[in-house]
This record gives sequence, C-alpha cells and structure tokens, in this order.
Amino acid sequence: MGTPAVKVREGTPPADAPETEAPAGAKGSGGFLTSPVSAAGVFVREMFTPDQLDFADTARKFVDTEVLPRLDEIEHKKTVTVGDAEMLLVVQILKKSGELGLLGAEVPEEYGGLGLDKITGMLIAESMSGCPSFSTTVGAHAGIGTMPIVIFGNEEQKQRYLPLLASAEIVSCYALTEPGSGSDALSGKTRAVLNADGTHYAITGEKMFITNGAWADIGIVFAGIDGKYSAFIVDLRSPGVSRGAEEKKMGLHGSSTTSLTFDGTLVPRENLLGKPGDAATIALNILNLGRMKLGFGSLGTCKFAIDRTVAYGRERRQFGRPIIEFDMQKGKLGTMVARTYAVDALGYRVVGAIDAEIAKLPKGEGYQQAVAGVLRNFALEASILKIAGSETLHDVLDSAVKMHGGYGFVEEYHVERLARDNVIDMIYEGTNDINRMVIVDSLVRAIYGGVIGSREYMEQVDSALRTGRLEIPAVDGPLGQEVARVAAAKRAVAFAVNEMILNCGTDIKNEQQVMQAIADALIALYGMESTLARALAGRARPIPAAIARLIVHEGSQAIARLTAEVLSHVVTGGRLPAKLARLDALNRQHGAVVDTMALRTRIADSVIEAGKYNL
Amino acid sequence: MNLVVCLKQVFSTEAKIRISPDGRAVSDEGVEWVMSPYDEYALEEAIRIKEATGAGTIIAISIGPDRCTPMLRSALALGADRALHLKDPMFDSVDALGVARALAAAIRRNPCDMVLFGRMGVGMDQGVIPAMVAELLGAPMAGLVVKITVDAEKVRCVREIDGGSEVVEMALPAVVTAQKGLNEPRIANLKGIMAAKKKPLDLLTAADLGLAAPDLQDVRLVHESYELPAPRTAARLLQGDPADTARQLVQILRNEAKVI
Ligand SMILES: Cc1cc2nc3c(=O)[nH]c(=O)nc-3n(C[C@H](O)[C@H](O)[C@H](O)COP(=O)(O)OP(=O)(O)OC[C@H]3O[C@@H](n4cnc5c(N)ncnc54)[C@H](O)[C@@H]3O)c2cc1C
Ligand SMILES: Cc1cc2nc3c(=O)[nH]c(=O)nc-3n(C[C@H](O)[C@H](O)[C@H](O)COP(=O)(O)OP(=O)(O)OC[C@H]3O[C@@H](n4cnc5c(N)ncnc54)[C@H](O)[C@@H]3O)c2cc1C
Repeated sequence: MGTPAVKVREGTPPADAPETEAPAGAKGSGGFLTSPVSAAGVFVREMFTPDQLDFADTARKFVDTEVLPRLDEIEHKKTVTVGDAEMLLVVQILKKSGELGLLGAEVPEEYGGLGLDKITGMLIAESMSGCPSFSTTVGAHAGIGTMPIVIFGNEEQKQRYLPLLASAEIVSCYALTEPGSGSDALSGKTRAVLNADGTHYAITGEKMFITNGAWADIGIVFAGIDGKYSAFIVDLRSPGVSRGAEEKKMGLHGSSTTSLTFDGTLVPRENLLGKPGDAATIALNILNLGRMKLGFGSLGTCKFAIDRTVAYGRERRQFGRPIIEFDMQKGKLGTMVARTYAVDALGYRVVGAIDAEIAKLPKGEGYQQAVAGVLRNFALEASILKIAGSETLHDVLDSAVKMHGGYGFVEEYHVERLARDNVIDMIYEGTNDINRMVIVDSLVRAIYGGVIGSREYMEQVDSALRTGRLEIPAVDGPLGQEVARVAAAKRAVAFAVNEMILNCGTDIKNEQQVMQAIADALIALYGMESTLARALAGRARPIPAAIARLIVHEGSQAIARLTAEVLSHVVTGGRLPAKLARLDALNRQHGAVVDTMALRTRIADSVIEAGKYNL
Repeated sequence: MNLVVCLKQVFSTEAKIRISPDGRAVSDEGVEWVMSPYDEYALEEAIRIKEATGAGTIIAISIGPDRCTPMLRSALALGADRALHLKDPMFDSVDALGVARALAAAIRRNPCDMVLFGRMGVGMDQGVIPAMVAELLGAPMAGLVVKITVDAEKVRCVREIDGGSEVVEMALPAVVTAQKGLNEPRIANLKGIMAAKKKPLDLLTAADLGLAAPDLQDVRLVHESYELPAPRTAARLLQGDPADTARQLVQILRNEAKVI
C-alpha cells in the first residue's frame, strides 16, 4: 500500500495525522467527512494486479475490435443472421462478450462465472466504454439483470439461471419503473396474486422504459403481493407478456427501451426472489452497484472522448497551427483531464474500500447477504460516484464537441453521439437529484445513528471555529499546502452540515436546495481528497501533483461558496454574520494563490505529448 | 503435436522513440512493452493447430528481463500450456546469434514437432533469429508463412512471395515464421486468464540450459549507434512572381539548408 510522502510537523492534532490503521472513510456512510486526510489505505488504480490489468485488456480489446468498428450499425439497429435465427447485432455482440467471460466477472465460479472482486468488475465496466448503447445493454443484462440473482437468489435459482446469464445464452433485464412510478420507484401498481393451488403467481401491470425490453428472455420484475412489494424472475417468453414499441429516444439509439405489459402472466412460485416484501432491499442494493458501474462507465468514456479530442486537435489546423496548440484549447483540455483523474481517484477509492470490507466477511452461508450489507453502507459514496461520473462526462463531452468545431456536431466524429447518449446517465439509476438526496439522507442517518462518530467531531469544529484555533495541521513536503486545504475544507463542510442539522431538524426533507448544496460540497470534498490521496500515493509525480493542486483549489472555492450559501439560508436572526465570518476566516487562512491557468496548460501539454490520456 | 512458440517483447507501436544519451541504444524509459505483433500470429496458429489436432502441448519461450513475465503469462492465458522464461545477466550482452543459441538450447531440452516464430520482432526488424535457430537445430524452415496445414510427419506452408504465393512442404520437426494474414489472433478469455495462474512458468538460466560463457561471449555484431530521422518542419510557401520565388529558394538552399 502506498504511504504518503508527507511529514506532519509536531503539534499536529492526531485528527489529521496520516494513519496506516484506519484509512480515511474506509467504511462508507460518509465517514471521510470526519476522518483525517490521508493517502494511507486508499486504493488507487496504480495498485491493480497483473491479472486485473489482463482482464481490462481483454475488455478493451473486445470493444476496440468488436464494438467500435460497428458503432454505426449498432446505432441503426442492424440485424444479423446467426444459424437460422435473426437477431440484433448488438445482441450478437453481447453474446460474444459472454463467450469471453466478460459478463460473468461477478458471478461466482460455481455458477459459471469468475467470482472476481468488485474492483475487477468495475475496471471491466470502465474498459467496456466509449460505446454507450452497447454498455447499457451489457449493464441491464449483467449488472441489474443478473446481480439480483447473485445476491438474493436461492441455490436453485442460481443454478438454474446464472450459468445461462454469465454466458449470455439468455438475456436479462430489470423491470422496476412504471408509467406512474419512476423516482418513487417502490410505488408501482403491478400486482402478483398467488393462484388457488399455490403454485403460481399471476402478474398484472405495466413496466416502462425497460432496457433490453425488446429482446430479453427473462426479467427481474417488481410487483406487489398483498401490498408487499416483491421481486420475481419472470420468463418473458411466457403467455400474457407483451412488449411495447421502441421508444424514440434522444440517445442510446442502439439499445432497446420498451414497455413490458403483464396480463395475468403466470410465474412459478419458486421464481420469487427472496421473500414477499423484499423489493426495497433488492432494489436499493442493486442500485448501489448499478450506480457505481455507471460512474465507471462514464469514467471510461471520459478517457475515450479525451483521446478522440487530442487526436482530432493535433490533426486539425487553423491559422497555420494544430488547434490543440491554442492556449484556450489547452485550458479546456487541462480541465477535462484533471476532472477525469479525480473521478478515477474517487471511484477506485470507493470500490477499493468496499472490497477491503468484503474481504473480511466469512465465506459460506449468508455471505451474499453480508456483501449486500457492505454495499448498503456505501450508498452515499455510490451516489457520489454516479453523480461525479455522469456530470464530469457531461462537461468533458461539452468541451469535446466544441473543440471539434463544426465536426463535433456531426455523427461521423463520435462525440456528437456520446453527448446525446450521456444525458440519460443523469436520469437513470436514480436521477442525479434523487442521488443528491440519498447523499444527504445517508449522512444524516449516519450522524444520528452514531455510525461515523461525527457529533463530537462537529462540536470540535464548532468550538475551534468559535475560538479561532483552527488546528489545521502544517504539513511539509510536496502537496503539504493541499493537505491543509483539504483539512480546512472538511471543517467548512462539517460546520455547514452541523448548522443544517441544528437549524432544519427534521424539516431537512423540505429544504432540498440546502440538501443539494451540501451534496455538492460533499462531492467536491470527496473528489479533492481522493485526487490528493492518489497523487500522494504516487509520490506526487509532477502531473498528478499539478492535477491535485488544480482540483483542490477549485474544490475549495466551490466549498467556500456552497457552505456560505447554506449558512445564509439556514442560520436565522442575528447570528448569521458571526458564523459567516468564521467560515470566511477558515477559507481565508487556507486560501492560496494558485496559477490555475499554468496548471491546466501543464496538464494539457503532457497529454498532448503522449497523444492520449495516460494517467 | 508438440509446439514451441518463441515470443519477443517489443515497444508498443505507440511508443515515442528516444535515443539514449550515448547514442548506442534506444531508450526504454516510460515505454509500454507488448508481444511483438507477428509473434501473436505465431502463438494463435499454435493454439489453432492444437485445437484442431486435439492433443499435444504448446510451450511459449521468451528471453529477456523480468518485464517479460506478463507477456508469458498472457501467452498462457491465450492457450499455451507452459512457459519458459530464459533469464540470466549473461543474456544481456549477447547478439542475435547468442539469443538463437539460448533458444535452441531450450528447444533441444523440450523436443517438439514445430517451432513457430513471428517473421521479425517489430521495431528492430532484424528477422534473423528463426533462421539461426533452424540451423542450430538442423531443421528445415519456411518464412513469411500465411497458411499452415499439418499432418503427423510433415507440414505444408503457403508462403508469400513477390507477386504470388508458394507452397512448400517440410518434414517435421520444422521451423516456421508467421506473416500477417496467417490468422486473426483471439482475445484472451477471462477464464483463460484465471487458469494461466495455475500453469507452469519456469525460469531458466544459462547454466540450466548448459550454456557456458564462451557460447555467449562470442559477440560478432555490435550496435554502433542509433539516429532518429530529422524532425519534419512545416512546409513554407514562397510568395511572389516566379523569378522572385526562385531567388528566394536559392537563398534558402544556400544560407539556411546549406545544401548548395
Ligand atoms: C433510456 C432509458 C432506459 C431505462 N432503463 C430502465 C430499466 O432498464 N429498468 C427500469 O426499471 N427503469 C429504467 N428506466 C427508467 C428510469 O430509471 C427512470 O426514468 C428514472 O428513474 C426517472 O423516473 P421518471 O422518468 O419517472 O421521472 P420522474 O420520477 O417523474 O422525475 C421527473 C423529475 O422530477 C424530479 N423528482 C422526482 N422526485 C423528486 C423528489 N422527491 N424531489 C425532487 N425532485 C424529484 C426528478 O429528479 C426529475 O428531474 C430507463 C429510462 C430511460 C429513459
Ligand atoms: C450545422 C452547421 C451549419 C453550418 N452552416 C454554415 C453555412 O451556412 N455557411 C458557412 O459558411 N459555414 C457553415 N457552417 C460552418 C461553421 O461556421 C464552422 O463549422 C465554424 O465556423 C467552425 O469552423 P470549423 O468547424 O472548421 O472548426 P475549427 O475552426 O476547426 O475549430 C475547431 C476548434 O478550434 C478552436 N479554434 C480555432 N481557431 C482557434 C484559435 N485561433 N484560438 C483558439 N481556438 C481556436 C475553435 O474554437 C474550435 O473549438 C456550418 C456548420 C454546421 C455544423
């Protein structure tokens, strides 16, 4: 494990000393907010094993040779004939990826998969990117369409379905959303009624926007049994199932999105997943995985878009020079690269911590339930990853399109399609609004539940701010200033969270703009701390250090603004000026003069020289 | 059918080429190493032959430092049964003949029906080692092969020649070098990657191969120096009437380019 190349001077409160024992926020639930800033124990991609790199290599090569050359055909839903059956090209490619084992990474070995850890699963998701229509087809099948059976299926269900799913001999989907039930996902009207013999449930209702709807063989379908919302494995080839027409979408044209209607569809009783009433547990755990996968897919697509843009910008000449050499373009590229690096750092930090927790679990009976418990503890971090990934990709693609000039607006250069495809990332797997609420909700629960020991911490912060004794450690060595700035930012966010709780109480639910600002502050904080940790773990080499400086600076500024906004809204009466002044003092003391323009240029230059994203 | 495939690790084709300060080597600083693309065809062909005949073993051999391990591991992931890593400080200073001697020694200890190579290691592009190994083993060789058919005693190869193709038949054991077009290399299966961890990857030193210092110190070819091509400068457009531009051109050729 990497140790930080920083030395803490004497007089430093233990709260910020780099520790080797308890890595920052390693147990989820937003614990990073109250943990010391440290690179110790933070997993970074530089720690991948040779096997993990080989798996990623297979995934990347598969996409490069089988998917990318056929993007146009996938986009226009080309069909192919295999034997005497006709199928969509994208389904055929899905099946090919199954033959390589790419769909069974997280399926246990005894059921035909590889039983690999989450880091590897996510690395594969990152590597199978740049082709969102295909990736979403994979995600709906191997992620949300398969993982409910891995985690919640009984022995018989696993033996029956998992080998067929891992190889993609059958294709799956996940049917939760209904016309009247989207964000409020558990309010669906679909019903399941046990027949008189007690052998079958009859399912009736309509599901909406189901990925793989046109071609899935089975689906994880949610329906209420006497008011208890539950999940079933449903054979979609059985009578009483009808599939709606393809939605005419803004993007993801190569994927299938249809409604599924069930009219008394008979489902064998043994196809109930878990017990009646387990829908919430199943849906929420699966969402956590899905959100992380989405974040990693976005990360891969960010890198893909950067590579395309660098290649284009080196070729395209205007005013006698390659456009990538113009300063303004370097500024944009520097930002694209730095923010992508930040998502990478925070993403692998989350799954690294999850795998470390899972590794502690005893194998055997109840193992998968315990895994689900770990995933639940990381709901906050999973939402951060989903938002950071999808919104960073959004900004990266916005720049990529513009840097392509008029060619960014036409199909041929990929970025146009990617920009359309990315929009749904901010809507499905929980809209980003809903995910922001998950972040604050989880944090407040963890605080009230005493899970992250933050009460004492916040009191300390409060009194430190009151007395002006801020107790920010002075740190020597490279990036010492950044360590101090992240520590200060943590105090600012903790201060604002504390004020939110004190002043809003249980009314927080109605103060959604406050929740949004707090969520954004936490996302910025987690991103800057993870970026710093990754740069330190890599002994602060020049480019990662430049990125850390830039991200920490931008994050600090965003946090200063967001926390001031929160205070200005929640603190009432005459106390506001004094509190704002304390926040100001904190920000002023740990502000810094940073030449962000030079940093962006430097970061861009290194990527331009390499010809691709190389971090 | 038992097969040996010799693999060389080379710079990725995207690598930026730099010359070391003394001008006598190509710097490998920050370079990504990959299996030489022609060797991928050789390995793929060996796997296909094994799949078609349904028996035998494939041994992948490479000579080089520690960094070769991942390449050999990926050969195992793709379908080789065993890997031999020839590693010894003595190998660092050998020339092509020394490499061929080491490979031949390893192959003699693992008798096989056919030895497959890529037609050359991409980058240095020498392509001399297969012929040397064939000579040392006393085996026939066919180079630049685009199609291979084997039976128990012989191998038929289609070779690319200028303007057409040639079919040769050789008695086994034989040496073959793969040309682009021989096949389309597969992508490693995830299960194969897992299985590779359990396959043997043996380290062999010069002593293990029965090679003594004199065999390896007989260096007959040294690399004197390397040079990069002159950097391309942007084209300059001369303006003016023909007489004027001709005058400008002569000035440039004489004073700047100093070629006349
Ligand atoms: C291409 C595509 C593929 C999809 N694939 C699947 C699939 O495979 N399986 C599946 O089950 N579903 C799938 N979905 C559905 C998707 O998950 C939902 O569209 C999403 O959850 C949002 O629900 P909704 O569309 O009903 O929007 P709504 O819930 O109506 O939301 C509308 C707006 O209101 C906001 N909002 C809602 N509630 C609140 C609140 N409490 N506070 C503040 N703001 C709120 C939302 O953030 C959003 O901005 C897919 C959708 C699309 C478009
Ligand atoms: C749908 C559509 C309709 C159009 N209609 C018309 C039309 O009717 N008539 C017509 O004549 N044209 C038309 N155009 C062309 C359009 O005006 C050009 O695409 C636009 O001027 C940009 O030029 P470009 O595409 O060559 O991009 P480029 O000039 O190659 O620009 C690429 C990138 O480099 C940047 N860049 C370029 N130079 C510099 C610099 N010096 N410093 C910093 N950055 C720089 C740009 O800002 C951009 O980000 C149309 C284009 C489209 C896509």
